[in-house]
Amino acid sequence: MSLEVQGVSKSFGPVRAVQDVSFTVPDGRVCGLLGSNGAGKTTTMRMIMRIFLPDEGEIRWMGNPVMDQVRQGFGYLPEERGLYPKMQVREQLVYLTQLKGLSLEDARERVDLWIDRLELGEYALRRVEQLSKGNQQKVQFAAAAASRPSLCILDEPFTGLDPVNTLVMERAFRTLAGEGTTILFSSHNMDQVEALCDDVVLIHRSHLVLSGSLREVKKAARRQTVKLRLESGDYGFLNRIAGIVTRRGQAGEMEISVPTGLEPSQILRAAMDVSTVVQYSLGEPSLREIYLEKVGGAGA
Amino acid sequence: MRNLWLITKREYIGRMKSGAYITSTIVLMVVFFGSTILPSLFDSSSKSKPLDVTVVDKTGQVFGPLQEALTLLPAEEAKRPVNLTLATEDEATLMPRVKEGDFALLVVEGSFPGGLKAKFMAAHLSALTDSYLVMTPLQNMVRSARMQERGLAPEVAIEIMQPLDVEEVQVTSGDTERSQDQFMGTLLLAMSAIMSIYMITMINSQFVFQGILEEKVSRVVEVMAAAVRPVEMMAGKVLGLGALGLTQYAGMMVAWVAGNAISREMIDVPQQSLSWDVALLIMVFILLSYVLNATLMAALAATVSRMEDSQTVQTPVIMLMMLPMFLFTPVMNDPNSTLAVVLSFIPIFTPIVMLMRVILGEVAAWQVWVSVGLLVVTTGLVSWASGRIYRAALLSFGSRPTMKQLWGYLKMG
Repeated sequence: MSLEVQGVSKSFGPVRAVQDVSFTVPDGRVCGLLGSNGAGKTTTMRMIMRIFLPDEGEIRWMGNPVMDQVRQGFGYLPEERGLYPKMQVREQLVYLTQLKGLSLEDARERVDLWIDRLELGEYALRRVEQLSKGNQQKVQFAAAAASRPSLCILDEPFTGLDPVNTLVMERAFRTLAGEGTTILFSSHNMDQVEALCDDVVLIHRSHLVLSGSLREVKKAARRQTVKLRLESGDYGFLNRIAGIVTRRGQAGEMEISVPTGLEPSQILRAAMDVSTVVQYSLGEPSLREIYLEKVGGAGA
Repeated sequence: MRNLWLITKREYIGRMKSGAYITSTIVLMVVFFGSTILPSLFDSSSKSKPLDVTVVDKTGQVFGPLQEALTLLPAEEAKRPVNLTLATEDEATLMPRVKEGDFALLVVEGSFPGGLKAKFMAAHLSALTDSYLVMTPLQNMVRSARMQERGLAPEVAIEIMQPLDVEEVQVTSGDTERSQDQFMGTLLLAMSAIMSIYMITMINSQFVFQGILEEKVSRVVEVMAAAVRPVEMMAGKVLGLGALGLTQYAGMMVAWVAGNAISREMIDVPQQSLSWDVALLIMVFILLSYVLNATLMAALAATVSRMEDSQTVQTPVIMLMMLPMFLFTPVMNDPNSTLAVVLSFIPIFTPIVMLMRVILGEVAAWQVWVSVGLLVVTTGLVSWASGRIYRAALLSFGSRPTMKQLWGYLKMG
């Protein structure tokens, strides 16, 4: 039982925003929806939320087509943030939660819980327009999460947050997932997606490129990554090896994507010829590498 | 239904609490109360004070008879006491005090009664308005003297001067007759009814337009669209803001009625009482007219996303709403003319034109039913089309729409 997107397409006039996209998000899992700007992520999410109806294809939740009644159980954080600016934070959250079918008492209880989790207590009685952008975003997240949704669609929930608020939101995100909510969220931060997701879906230029669990996707890439650190710090020799892609790692080491057909040990031998090797390790490709490979550096 | 109720309640209570709404309601109530109470206050203060008139009688023959003639003015016409004083100084000496408003000045000169000339001067408008209290007896007195000069006995002259008993009556097909005074009352009633329809329709439709545009500008529209059906969003706005406007209107009416109760004597024309069927018709027209315009405004508001585009989009609809106002005079002159009859069946004109015809003239019941029926169907169709446009255009952000785009939205929704 899960979210099933089956052969969905959507056009706006001559623009084909989404073409024949199919994927499944199993119940209780966290799925990252990846793709470059304009790939069709937001349109896909809006179709799941029934804001747009697909021209073709079908979207099902727990085996049932997503109709208004089914959608009542979904939470949504849109890419274009929006709240009633003149309304108080708590009053607004209670209203939006009630619209999802909760009673007034239930809505108040859930809203207070999420206000607490997102550290919004001191702003609860302020008007939304008096809050900083970061805090407004946390209110928006609370609006999506407070109704105890079975499925939560979050369109770039971490964009524009400072490091402290990012941590608060990530914690709230994990809490929401821990409560058993199925989450589909989009982000351009690959490290974050890798840290938070069980599954990934990649859309490029309106088409589905890959989907599946993170482990399966990495396995399917069948490529390896070498992490190399040399005493001399001179990595010029790598330019002489055809087909490899390099990237400077966070600790100053060089991350090398090894192309198929090349043995990682060849890189080690070449390195030992030019300098003392301080670090050498062999690992799976990162999500970022897989993404760049599938989408192409220019389009990302 | 639950969501519709929640949205309606939020629109109503949310705005009810806003400073702008409270201020505008209080201001409107004060204006309505003041507009009824102030004239009567001025009126009663001037009524209680006698009209002081100093007479410069250059003929030496007018002052005495004029004083006598004043006592002959019928009581119902003598609304204010008059103090006549014979001047001991000349006109030029008295003028500064006249300009100060101390008293009015009546200068009579020439030969009495054949070549008499009279001039009434006053600084205050109220004194000029009431000058008839002196001038009418003066004219009667002079005419009577002229007749006596030609040999008529004084009592015959007075008899000739008696006013005619004239009555102007509007006849209707029923047993009722309306005097001219009553007709004025009816006209006032028609105008109040039409103004009510206009105010409720125009002000509240604007509220709906603003409310939807605000949701688009603040982008909250997407959160709402993900939670409730577009038709619930639109209907909740139309209902909530309609109720809000009605509340404001009720406030104005309370102020107006209270003002009128205090100054009951202000309106001289008899108040035409409202029959139940006409009152019901007014309510039906207010309701349909509001829903028709509000849903149209809702659809238009959904197609724009910037405050600066709102004027351009609204203007044609407002012009259309204003149009029946220009038809007031021709319809009033002949409520059963071909023009009036035809216009009363065109749904956008029906609330105003049919109501005027019903109040001012005689309209066959079937005509009223047919016109209301056509209006109901049109309102239904416009609401349906507006709902489709609203749904399709809700998440469009960009330049304002062309007619082609509106048609596209209608097909898409």
